[in-house]
Amino acid sequence: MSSLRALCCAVLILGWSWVAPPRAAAHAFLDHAEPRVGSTVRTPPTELRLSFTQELEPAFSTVEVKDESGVQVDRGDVKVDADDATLLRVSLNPLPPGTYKVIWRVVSVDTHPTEGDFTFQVSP
Amino acid sequence: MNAPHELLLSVGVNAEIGASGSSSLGVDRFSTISPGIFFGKGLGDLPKSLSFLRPLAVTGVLSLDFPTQAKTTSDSGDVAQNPHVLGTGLAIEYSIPYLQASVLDIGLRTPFNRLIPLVELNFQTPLDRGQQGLTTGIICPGIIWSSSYFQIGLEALIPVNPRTGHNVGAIAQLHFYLDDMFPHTFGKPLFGGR
Repeated sequence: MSSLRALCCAVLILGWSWVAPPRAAAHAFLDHAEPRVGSTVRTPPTELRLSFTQELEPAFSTVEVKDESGVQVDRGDVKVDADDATLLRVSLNPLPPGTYKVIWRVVSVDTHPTEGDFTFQVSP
Repeated sequence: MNAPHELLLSVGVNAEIGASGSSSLGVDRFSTISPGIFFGKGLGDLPKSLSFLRPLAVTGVLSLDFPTQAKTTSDSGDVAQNPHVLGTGLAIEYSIPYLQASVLDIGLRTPFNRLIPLVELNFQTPLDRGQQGLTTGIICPGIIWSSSYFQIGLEALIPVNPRTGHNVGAIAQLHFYLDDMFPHTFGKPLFGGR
């Protein structure tokens, strides 16, 4: 009986290793951001950095930053970091005091799309 | 489904196949078919003044059990009535991942940024066959830790009345996200789409 159990375990382990997912094959969720989600900063940031839980597909990963009037304040140069495929970056125009909304939509390398938004503030 | 308002409504049918488990565990010899309505509502559309409530979500189910036998006789000759049963389930959860990604980063990092406290409520109310109104149920406060590929849950099981039970229990669950683990098989739509 114990040999049968051992055989079953071996089959399960072998089967698992055969079908086990490659690394970074899940939905990409926002892990943290700079400026931080919901934060108030005194010094206007010159760049927005979004760090995700999975590696991103650069061609289908975007982010926009808008002011309270809905005017886009990022420079449109969205890119996935060359050394860290979980990091999405975009540079920002000079930001006057106010509330800014970040709207992101990304696709992880296994093609799962996710999206979200948050705000941060620049204090006077 | 209404994504902007984080609202989901669905219907489904659950089938519990009779005599498909160990009799020592009290498995029924008859099957039970349970059509149900499922719903979910996230509070992410609340105004900014209530932003700390935005990570709250409520999910639930309303179902009706149809047993395939009206009564069953045990080996000892006892006859048991099998009523139609109204099932109601509700789960209220507060997502720390949602809080940190969409409302306010309060600085929690791994593993605490993946926690989801919740309370589940589950009630069964027989509707006929001499048992109408004899509701049983449990309240289950607990916590879930969710990773990219699986989640681990731990809940207390608190009976709502003496008819349900007298002691508090506990349950641990391990769920795998098959669509994330196998994106090219389970993770794809069965029909149409990409």
